[in-house]
Amino acid sequence: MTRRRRTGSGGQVDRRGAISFCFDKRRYQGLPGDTLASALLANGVTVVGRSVKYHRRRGIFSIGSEEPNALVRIGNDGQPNTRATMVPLIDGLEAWSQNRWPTLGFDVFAMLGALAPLLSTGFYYKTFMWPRRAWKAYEHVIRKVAGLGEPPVRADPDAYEHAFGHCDVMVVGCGPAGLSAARVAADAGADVWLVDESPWAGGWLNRERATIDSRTGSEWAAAEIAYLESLANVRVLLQTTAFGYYDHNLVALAQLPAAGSAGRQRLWRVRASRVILATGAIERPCVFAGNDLPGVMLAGAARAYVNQFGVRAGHRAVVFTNNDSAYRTAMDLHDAGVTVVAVVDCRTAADPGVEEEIRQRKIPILKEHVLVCAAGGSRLRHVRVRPAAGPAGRSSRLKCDLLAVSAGWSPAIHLHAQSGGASTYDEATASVIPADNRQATHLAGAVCGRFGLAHCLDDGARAGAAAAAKAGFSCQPPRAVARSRLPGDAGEVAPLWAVPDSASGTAFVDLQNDVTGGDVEQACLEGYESVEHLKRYTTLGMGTDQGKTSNINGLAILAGRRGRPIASIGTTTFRPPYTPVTMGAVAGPEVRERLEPVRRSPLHDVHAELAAEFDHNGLWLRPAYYPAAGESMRDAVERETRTVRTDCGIIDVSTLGKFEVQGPDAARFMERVYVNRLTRLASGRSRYGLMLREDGMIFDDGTVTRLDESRYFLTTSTSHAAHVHEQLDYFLEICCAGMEVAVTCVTEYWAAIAVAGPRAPAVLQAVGVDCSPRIEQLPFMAVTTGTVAGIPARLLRISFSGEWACEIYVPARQSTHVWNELRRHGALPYGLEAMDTLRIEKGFIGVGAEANGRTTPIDLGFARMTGKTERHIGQYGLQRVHRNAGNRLELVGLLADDPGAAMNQGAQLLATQGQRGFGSSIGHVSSAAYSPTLGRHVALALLAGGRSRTGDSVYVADPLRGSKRDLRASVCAPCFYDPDGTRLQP
Amino acid sequence: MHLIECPWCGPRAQVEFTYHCDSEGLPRDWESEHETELHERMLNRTNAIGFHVELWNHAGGCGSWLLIDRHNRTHDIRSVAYACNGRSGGK
Amino acid sequence: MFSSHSRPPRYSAFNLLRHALTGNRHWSRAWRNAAPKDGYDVIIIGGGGHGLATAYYLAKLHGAKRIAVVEKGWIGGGNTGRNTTIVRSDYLLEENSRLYECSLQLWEQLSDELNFNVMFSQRGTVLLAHNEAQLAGVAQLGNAMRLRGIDAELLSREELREFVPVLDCSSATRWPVVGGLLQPRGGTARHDAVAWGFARAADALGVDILENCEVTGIGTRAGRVTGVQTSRGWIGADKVGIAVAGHTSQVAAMAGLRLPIETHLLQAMVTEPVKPVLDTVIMAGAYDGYVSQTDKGEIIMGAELDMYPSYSQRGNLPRIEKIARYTLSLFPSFGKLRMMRCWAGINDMTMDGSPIIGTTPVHGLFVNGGWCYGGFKATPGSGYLFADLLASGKPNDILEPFALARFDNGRYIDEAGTGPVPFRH
Repeated sequence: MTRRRRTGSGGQVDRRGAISFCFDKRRYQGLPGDTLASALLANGVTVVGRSVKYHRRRGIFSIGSEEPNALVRIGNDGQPNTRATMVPLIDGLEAWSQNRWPTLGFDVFAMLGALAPLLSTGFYYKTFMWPRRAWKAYEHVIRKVAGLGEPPVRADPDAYEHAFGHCDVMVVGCGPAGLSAARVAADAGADVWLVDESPWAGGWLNRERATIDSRTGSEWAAAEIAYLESLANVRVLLQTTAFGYYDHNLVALAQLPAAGSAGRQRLWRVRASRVILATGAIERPCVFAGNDLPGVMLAGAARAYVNQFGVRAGHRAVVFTNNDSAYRTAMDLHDAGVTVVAVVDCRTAADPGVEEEIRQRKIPILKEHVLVCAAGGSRLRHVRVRPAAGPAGRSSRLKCDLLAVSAGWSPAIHLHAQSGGASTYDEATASVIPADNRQATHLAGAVCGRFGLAHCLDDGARAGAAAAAKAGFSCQPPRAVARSRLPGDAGEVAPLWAVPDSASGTAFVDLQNDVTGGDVEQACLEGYESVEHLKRYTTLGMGTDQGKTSNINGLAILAGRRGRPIASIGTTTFRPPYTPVTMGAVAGPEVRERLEPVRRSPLHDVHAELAAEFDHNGLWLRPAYYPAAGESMRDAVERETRTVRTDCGIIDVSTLGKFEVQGPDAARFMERVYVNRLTRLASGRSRYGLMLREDGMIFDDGTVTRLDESRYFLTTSTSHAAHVHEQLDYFLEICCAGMEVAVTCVTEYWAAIAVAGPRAPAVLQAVGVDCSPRIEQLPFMAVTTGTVAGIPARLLRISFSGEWACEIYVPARQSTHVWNELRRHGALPYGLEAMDTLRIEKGFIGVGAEANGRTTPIDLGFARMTGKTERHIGQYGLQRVHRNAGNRLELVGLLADDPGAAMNQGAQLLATQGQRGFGSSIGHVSSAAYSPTLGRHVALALLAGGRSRTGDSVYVADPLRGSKRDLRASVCAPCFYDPDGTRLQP
Repeated sequence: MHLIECPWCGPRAQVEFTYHCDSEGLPRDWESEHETELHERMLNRTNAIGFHVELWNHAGGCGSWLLIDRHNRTHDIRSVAYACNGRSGGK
Repeated sequence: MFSSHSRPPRYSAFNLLRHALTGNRHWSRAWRNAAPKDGYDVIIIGGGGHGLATAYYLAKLHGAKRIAVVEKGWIGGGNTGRNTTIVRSDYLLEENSRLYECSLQLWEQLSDELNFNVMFSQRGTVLLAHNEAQLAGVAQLGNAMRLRGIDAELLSREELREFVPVLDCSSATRWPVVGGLLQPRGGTARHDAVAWGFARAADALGVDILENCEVTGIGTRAGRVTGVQTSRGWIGADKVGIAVAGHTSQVAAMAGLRLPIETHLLQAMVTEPVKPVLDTVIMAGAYDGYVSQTDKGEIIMGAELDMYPSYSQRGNLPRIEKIARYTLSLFPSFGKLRMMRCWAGINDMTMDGSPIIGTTPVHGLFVNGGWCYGGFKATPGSGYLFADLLASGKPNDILEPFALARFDNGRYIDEAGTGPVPFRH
């Protein structure tokens, strides 16, 4: 290979510059304006990757995002499966080939090609079943051979952004149609966004030798884009893929930063009044033997590499086509110094204009000929052609190193289809084109199956005007449409999907997934003949290119095989994304530490200073315990528990949900919300309250305090606060619509500190509590207001520990002072763990543990609360559940025979020792703790028919955590400490 | 993602709203309904493909409870109204 | 009369070789392209995994002869082909546990049973716990499983780190992983193959699989089912079973039934394929999400529902973003992988989160639906049990609790404990 691949002039690369890059450790030179693909071609690199199944050598096949072959990894430990055609070349770029071992040139797995007949489509469904348990071993190997690139090992170091946008008109595609549309809409005054996946505006105008208004296509595009960028109402985003078209005109964009810049990938959600899809069309190949060899390329790509990058993809080219557009490839290659051996056209005639152009260049045209096969190794050596109608055996050989193929163009209807738009098969262009729109969409240019340059410019202007008008802008009549010339752009084709009798094992339909024409035929034979079955059975169109160049050929072969028109076969569904989008960009910045917000109590800093160990409770961080230096968790929790039982402890309960309910109908409202009777709750008194769901299960527990006749203060569990709010709000609005009540969430306004223990009244006195009656005389379940350490406070004489206790509610911002004063006067902090131990000793239920969403108040021993006859939430549900209840799980206490033996939350209960099997469990330990007060382990449990088993023995089984022997325990009432509640009283 | 025309806030993205239930799940008169009525509306649904009036809450916005007439396959929205005769509108 | 047909040859290595030597041009259909007959003993509506499995077990175990599966599109085209292919039996409630364990045991034999490799791969499923309360929850679950003879292992954070090296077990994340519950027998299967394998095996036993045959009505006379009206004409039957995940309400409505079901979308997505990096199934308790890697190398992810009813089968961007956020928080090295395809499954969510399988007020009409997002793993079990119900007319011990009547009796099977809010299960 001594002849230069790069032309002496032409194209949009900067021949004065030089860029150095690496591919598989070898260093190469490219030019500014190159893509990785064009630079590799310019350096004569023909093999760039290996195929998925047979590990066949593959070269660059296309010029755009439809690329099935040229997938590389960019950078060390970098992004795998990157299409070389979409990577702008930058200095120092490192790219690596994929899916080969040990090297691209010598790949051990290439031997799989020899086994191809055995590895026919779906072979894995028919084998690897013997011996029976061996699948795992087979699978291990299969997984290693499958896959494409190597996944990165390190955590992704990049940061990503999310952004939101709104516009009047979103134009997708920056080719002639898109530019024309954007200009008309922008001139009408609409806010226009113009996006294109390529780094260069202009689309095919950069890739063809077209003229518009006597300028070259690329010059015209550059001038148009410069004009548009100068307008304040236009935003142009290049290297930005509109990858998803969702409900109500939401378009998702993935924007790459400029090559080599330190910018971030950004995901846009843009809500557009109107969307113009000018997404163009994708050329499709033809199915014949050897159509995957390096050197076989889409005809449009072959001329695009010459025209845009000044790169000859080969020196001796054959063009094979069923349409006029590939004639331009012959012309452009010839004019760039490539020897064009022949144009092979399966049709009887081409457009006279393009035919004349070819004749002038003295290129032979083989009409009514087809290509039988391509042959070669790491590069193409020759192709064989024969008359289309002639006998299968007779063919002649054409020596070449580039085969440019065009079997027509498929409109890129992906976004249209995603938006819910219909599509239909068009005979003239042999392609699937859009039919009706579902959303506020306009289509322009090749995406509609109208391919001429003049058509595209015209269509674009019309769509731009229509979109602007619909978005409310009065529109000038479109400017005089530009005069343009591009020979042979009518777009009509003679359908040719696969060359008959050429469907050997190497005639590929899907290059990436190695699906051959034979595979499609075999799938039909086996009855996998609906498009979805074909796709799923053969994996056709399931690769990273999602079948952009292969689906239609597969469909057509299927239709032919079934003897039905293509139109009747249907298509597979077009799903987002249009092209694959980096996960990091989809996720955006809110990952890992920023995954969800952290809620912190107003006293958080105080806890942190005390070196508390924190636990997650929903979004909240709460102190679990406060270890002293060198103290274990168990020791700390025991110490804190004893403090409350014998001295004075304080705990931050600011995270509880807090609500004020007020209004003339507040009392009636409360009566409906809670299961217990509240009408006789006097002002200044509190009560423990249970809220049910309509199905009768406990929803939440907390306290209800009547502040005055028409005003209540509620607390709820931390974890359910948001749901309780929603339920109260819903119930008020929908079920009690006539009531005059307001529900206000006051969680954030109040901090709350529970002061508990026999010495609590003394500590409070010392701190200075000004209230009436005096705090130590405040009756149990009474409420008052006053000041604590000079701070205005609401004081509730309620207890969740079983000791004399008082909850102090103070304004959140003044809570630190109160907490510190309490500490200064001898109160010791305790955390969630000690609180849990205290409530288990008392048999108080925990939300999540006992109130697990499947238990009713009757199950948990609150039957007395439930007798109310007035309608309340959960009343009927409760009746239904208990009307014919069987052996429901009921709350009990458990004491192990061995007081030193621990029972763990989540252990199961058995009636007899060692029992196993379905039906053996009769309940489970719902909460458990070591009680320092009692000097033994205690547990609460949900036990089938539990209350009637009081005094019985059950067995506690905890095999998961390694307990060998089931522990015997006796069932008791669920209260282990001060059952009469004498310690609660003043 | 739907665009929902909140009568109080204007057009807003669906992520600001929470769906609560189909209007079949709402009580006609909560005060006077019977057990069978409650269970029928709590449990059973027509669940047909087509337009349904649904109760949504603009939880990430004004907090209004809204009845949205929405097609459950195309996601077209025919109307959005306050669930309670404008009562929510004052929030 | 039941038409005779030749049983297709069994798949074997020899068979593959023979076809390879003859250019793979002589394969026969995996299942016949059957034409509807006037009548059948049993008609199953729905050619998904459940329907086909039901037909197979009816023919295989109950000797039923005249069976048809009617499918409005192509078999396996509903949720069978849209799920994230996870198979496990880690359920807390006894009723669910019996059902899914029955299914898991059938999975373990399935490739052999069907002579079709459904690629059931017991790579283990791991349920992550992110705090002490969740850890206690998975311990309760694991103990319940172990007592029933179902495999379960509690993994500490260190054990998890070793078992799943790519998982971030550090505390540099919002919800650090504190442990997990491993079910070693859990894993994944090739979803399409399940439909095809059951179809092929059922067909070999004489079952007629009628594709492109949409049921438009259910005929009844005097409270008895008489057959189904379809796009390919009337087909009579004494017994009709409904197994149409995603459209249970619509088909049941043809017989005048109103069910405790609301239909929601579940989003799923895959990345581009990469070499093996994740060798088990991870289920994150923090958001009901699950992540695994397919044999082709794609990372497949799914998560919670869209939270509003829909039949659209379309992706929804905010939910996809959330799945990506949570996945990358667990697997920070996946940031550079690319999302390749998104789709949605239609989930018939029941009011208590458990399926409905049983008789209906119409004699001879049976329903099997409301699988929420748990249907795929139940496929063989559901078919096996539903076949038993169709054959005997009475639910067996496992199915009895799943009857529609449980809602009238308040005997909900509420695994999640979230109550009659279908999208919260």
